[in-house]
Amino acid sequence: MRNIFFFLCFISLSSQLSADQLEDVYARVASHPVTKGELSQEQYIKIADRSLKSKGTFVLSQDKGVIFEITEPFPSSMVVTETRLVQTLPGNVTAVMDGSENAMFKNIAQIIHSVFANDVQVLRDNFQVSVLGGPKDVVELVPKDSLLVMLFEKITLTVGDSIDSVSIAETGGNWVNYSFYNKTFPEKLTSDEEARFAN
Amino acid sequence: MKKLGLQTDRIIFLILLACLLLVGICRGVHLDTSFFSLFPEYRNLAEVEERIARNSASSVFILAEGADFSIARQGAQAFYDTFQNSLVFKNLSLYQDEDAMEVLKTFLFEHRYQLLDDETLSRLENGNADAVSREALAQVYSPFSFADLGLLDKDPFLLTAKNIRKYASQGTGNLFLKEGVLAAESGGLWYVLIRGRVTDDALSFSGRNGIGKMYEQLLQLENSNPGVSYICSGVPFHSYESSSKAMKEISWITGVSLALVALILLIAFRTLLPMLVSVVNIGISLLAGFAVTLILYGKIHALALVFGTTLIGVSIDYSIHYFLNRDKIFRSLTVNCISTEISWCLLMLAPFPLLRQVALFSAAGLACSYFIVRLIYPVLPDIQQSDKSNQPCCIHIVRMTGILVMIVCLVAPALCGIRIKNSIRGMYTMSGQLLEWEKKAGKVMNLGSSGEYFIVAGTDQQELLVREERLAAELEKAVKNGSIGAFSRVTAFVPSEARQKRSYQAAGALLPCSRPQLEALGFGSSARRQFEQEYRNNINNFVTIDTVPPYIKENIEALFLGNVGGTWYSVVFPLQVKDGSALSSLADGKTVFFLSKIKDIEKELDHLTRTALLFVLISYFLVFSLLCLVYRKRALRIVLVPASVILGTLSFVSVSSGGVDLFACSGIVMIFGLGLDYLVYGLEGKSGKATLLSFITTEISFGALALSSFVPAHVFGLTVCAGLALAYLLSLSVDRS
Repeated sequence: MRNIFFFLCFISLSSQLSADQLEDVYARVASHPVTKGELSQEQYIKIADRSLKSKGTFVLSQDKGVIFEITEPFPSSMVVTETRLVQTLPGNVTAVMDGSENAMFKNIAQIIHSVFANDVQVLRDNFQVSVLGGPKDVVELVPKDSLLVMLFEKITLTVGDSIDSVSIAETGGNWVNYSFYNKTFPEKLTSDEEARFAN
Repeated sequence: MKKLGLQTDRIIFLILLACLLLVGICRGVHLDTSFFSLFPEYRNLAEVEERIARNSASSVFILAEGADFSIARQGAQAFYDTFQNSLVFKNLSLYQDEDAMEVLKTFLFEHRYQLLDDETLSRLENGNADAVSREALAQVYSPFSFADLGLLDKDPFLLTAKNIRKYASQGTGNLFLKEGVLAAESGGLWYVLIRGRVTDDALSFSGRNGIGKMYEQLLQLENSNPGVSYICSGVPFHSYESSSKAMKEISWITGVSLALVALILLIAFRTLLPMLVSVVNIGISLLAGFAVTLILYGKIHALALVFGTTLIGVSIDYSIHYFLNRDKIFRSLTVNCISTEISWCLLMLAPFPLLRQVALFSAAGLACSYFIVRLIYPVLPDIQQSDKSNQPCCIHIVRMTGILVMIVCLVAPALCGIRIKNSIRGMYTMSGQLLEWEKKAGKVMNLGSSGEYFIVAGTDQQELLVREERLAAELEKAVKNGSIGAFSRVTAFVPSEARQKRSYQAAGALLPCSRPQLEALGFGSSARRQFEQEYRNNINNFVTIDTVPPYIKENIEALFLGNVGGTWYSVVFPLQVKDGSALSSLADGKTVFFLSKIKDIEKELDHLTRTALLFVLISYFLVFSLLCLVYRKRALRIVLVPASVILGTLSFVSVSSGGVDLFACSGIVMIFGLGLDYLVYGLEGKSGKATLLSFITTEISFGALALSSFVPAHVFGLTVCAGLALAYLLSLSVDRS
């Protein structure tokens, strides 16, 4: 009986710690209004037992969202805001997942946005959160919703001063890892970047 | 000999009446409370329309509202647990199948070559297979592409991923799947949706009415789940509201009318017998009207009974005239009965089920009342009452006033004009709470349905689907130019076989690109061979309406109407319509029909109103011919009175209500029939007390109807009330010498 009581106290205490730590982690991320840098992406496809690697740049704005610009091997870009995802592919093909037209798109856009921006409440609403200490904080996000599990089984962020990497484990054994490096922290977005978030 | 003949007539009448009531009872009392029964029948698509209406008539949407998602979900769960096995709902769904998306994904993957989207199809047909291939590679390497890479060796061009995005976004509005339920966030509050279909028993009006019971249990659920509110939306709630209002109104209109009429009779005759006999006559006449309507229609609408209460005022007239004039009144009674029956028979021609029921109910009830007076009353003991023609002492003033009013009535239409205007929206006013619920549900779900839709017809399923695709191509243009936001259709889920064949053929252009594509993705030559083999095996893998997974079946259930009278039908709903002016031009009226229900019905009603006014004119000449036969030279003299009454009332309604609608016009038909009574009684020298009493009792009945909250009943009652007052006043001014 006493063991159960201590176990329950431990669970309650650790979830409280996780909650507070999450605030701390994202407070650090949010201390930079804009983060820019280079990005490498590695996707592991279990069925082919090989990884697909790509490179590019990223711009993270705490207010607006994230721009991923893939330059190699096949150029493409993805703009994530709180309400929509805009993907641009070769031949100027644009695929828009606009949340104002479809609530499911809005939900997905909001969740991806919250992983990068300081939107802790959205993370808590949609994920079981745990924060592991170490040289750098590791945040593990496990979706509560089975529908989200179809998109990502688990998201793991490594955060120092800012987000260093994001790993997404998918169902079926595939995974994707995003690493952010050569980061700079300008005060504000360029007019071109502002325009990309606005469009 | 004459007495013996009357005796036989009496027995025959009583036997017929008993049989009528017996058959009516055996037929069973079936009260129609459906909201859709209020509306007129429409074009030659009545059966198809009925099928659409049947879908909507039992569908309900319940939204559980809470400050956060968990509260709303808990509320929805409590509702679901309470009503899941109740007799109120045929089916109730809260939880979405967690495997639904997986099943959908598998289905779209299996039919990926038959279900190419428009853009990919056009590229492949135009020799741009390279572009499709490059786009897929970029998509694979793009961050957050959400493409299922687990099937990459079999679907290296990501054809399935494109379709998943398209299908997942069909017709969901603000709702999205969250933790196994459909949820929406609006105005800082969360909503969880429960969909259901109510049972026929729950829709039928009785003490066990399911909707009424459901409302009671909703209050209990709100109390036991703090922070949860429920929002109810759907036709059954409107049917319940209009029928329960109708039943309340029948009670009080009948009660008040009967009480006032009985009181007036008691004061007028100072003995109980005429009052009791008259009330029994009214009761039997109402039952006879009820029985005939049930026998001929199989059911009677609750609102037809509200209208039917006017029978009290009309049938009491015969009793009053009989008790004041006895045998001397039969000629004028017969003329009046015929003229009023002509009016009701004209209303029976209207393509409005409600009006037809009202007319049949009243015509049968009135005929019964007439025969009771004609055949049964003479058996009653004499009541010493005399109807002295108490000409008012100021008869000249009345006559002068009458002539002045007549002149005003005759010139009024020229001065103020008569406008025909029907408003369907005005026919039914929602209660405050139901209105609030519907507004909120519309905002939360944002499905964007406008009440305008297309019906597509075909001699077989494939022809239907091909025609729907042609219409869809035109609607795509409307989406692009912004006049509509989207549209829902069967072919979005099940394209025609011709389109699927075309799609498969076009996908063949990907075969030469498969080798470099698979190599770029890290697959060897065995994957390429397998890819080519699978493409060939897929040749006849067509999607049909019967083979779609449950998720899609649910989506097309309301769109695919099936076979109706040997023709196949489907319905296409334009959504978020911003400018619907050009939509009707997309219908050819033979294979594609555009139904803007409200606008079309209003147009149809305007046409009907004009036709009904023409009927009034025809019946005016018919009755005038009857009067010529009976009253010869005097008929010409009195013809101005009904003309003035009709024109005066039309002008009054046109000015007071902003236009004459079909119900006001029906009132005009009645005024014509009833107003003539005063003239005929006057010409028969039976004016005075009998006509005054008959006028007052009729005004009481129609006046009570004018207080009804059901707008058509109010308009009908008010029109007849005003018209009869005018008819009575003008009948006083006619020289009766």
